[in-house]
Amino acid sequence: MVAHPRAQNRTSRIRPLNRPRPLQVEAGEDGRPIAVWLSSRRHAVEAVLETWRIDDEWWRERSVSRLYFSLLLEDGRTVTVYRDLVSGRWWEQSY
Amino acid sequence: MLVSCVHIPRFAVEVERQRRNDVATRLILIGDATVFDCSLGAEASAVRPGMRMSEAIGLCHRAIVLPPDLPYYQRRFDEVLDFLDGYSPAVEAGSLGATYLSLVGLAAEPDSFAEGLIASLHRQFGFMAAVGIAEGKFTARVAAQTTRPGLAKSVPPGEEASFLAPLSIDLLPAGETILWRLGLLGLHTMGDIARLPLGAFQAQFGPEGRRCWELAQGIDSEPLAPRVKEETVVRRLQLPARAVALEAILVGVERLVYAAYASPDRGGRWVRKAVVRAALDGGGSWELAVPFREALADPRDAWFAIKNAIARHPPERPVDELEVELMGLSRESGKQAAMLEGKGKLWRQVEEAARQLRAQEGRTPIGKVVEVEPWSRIPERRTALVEFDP
Repeated sequence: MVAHPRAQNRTSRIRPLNRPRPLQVEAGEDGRPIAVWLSSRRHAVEAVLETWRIDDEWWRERSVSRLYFSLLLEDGRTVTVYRDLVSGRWWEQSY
Repeated sequence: MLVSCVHIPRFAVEVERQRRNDVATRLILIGDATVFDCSLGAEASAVRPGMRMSEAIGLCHRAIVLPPDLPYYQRRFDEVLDFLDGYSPAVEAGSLGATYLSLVGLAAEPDSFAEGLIASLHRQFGFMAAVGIAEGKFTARVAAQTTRPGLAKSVPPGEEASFLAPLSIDLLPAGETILWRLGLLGLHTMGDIARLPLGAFQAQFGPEGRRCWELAQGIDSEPLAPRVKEETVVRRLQLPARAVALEAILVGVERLVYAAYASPDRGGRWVRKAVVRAALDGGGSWELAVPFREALADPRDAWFAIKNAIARHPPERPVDELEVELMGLSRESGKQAAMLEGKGKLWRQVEEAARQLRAQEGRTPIGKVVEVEPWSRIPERRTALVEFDP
């Protein structure tokens, strides 16, 4: 019998990377972002560069349904945000 | 960056035609279980590289089937690369028969440069190349691939997307699955892809899809990776009689290893790798690379490693000629120090640091990034941080 060479795997040891971060977003009537709050500062959206939707894992209790926006801000930065279509909340996440 | 792609179509077939007079006018299939390369006539019968050989023979039953001699093709390709070194300071070897040359700072007009290059290659080697010139490796390669051998095609800056638009998606460097899915969606040309918004395309096909979309737009920022010509020591031995027994082959290789180590070209330097080659009876070649775990200065250590490697993978047929090449010559002894797999000094330091931190903190605050579902459309599913546990 060979002894187990290492400590048991624990799920707590695995952390997903690039997790979405909650974000405050002002949206227009059409649902598109018009301003985002980053570091407690309001940044107006200059343009919506891209938008795409992801619907996945519908077989799970919490399915994934997101509407992503790639935004050009007034200071020239680009950020990618999404609206969780299940909870209605906004998140920032690089894609 | 202006790049030229020199493409010699069906390189392996052309090399075999030059080597063997008896196949000069025959339809040729090269390969074993699958087709490695095939002649133009075989292509006309719908044979393609990668196809199962049995299927290819069924399509082209008059063809002669040759076993692939990859070491020999590579040696001929290296000769071409050495020749092209005289045309540009930065030459990158692509796949067999394809080369990229930087044209930055070139005095001549690109078109006349390309024509001169084609003529010189034909004069020197008998190969008829096609040359593509563009601002980026991908467009240059496609231009060369879609141009008849002996001609050059130049894509002016800013016209990459319109040049690529009508061309098939099969020219994209994408996996079979993604090409199949694109076909199912009715996307058959690069223009079909370029017209789609990036976000939607990337959401569907992931990072590989993004790369395809950018290439279809003519956006290619991949830099040229010039080859570094390595200094090596080579010794050859023409055997007085065909060597059949492994013992006879080993005697020849041993002589070559000691002769190479004694060569003034080595200049007392340490050796990291040896390559043993043999010309086989009845044509074809055999090659065995033997990388050493650490750089070796003593021929006895090198011979021990080489002998064991040959005993495990001996030539399949009698041998006419032997060659030994010493590579990776360095002034100092070197130890492999892979970050996470080797047992070098750095690795031991990382392990020790992790142990000390765990003793102090109760856990290791060092993490290792691992791919979990790299294909996932959900970004946080793609990679994860795992606690480093040496």
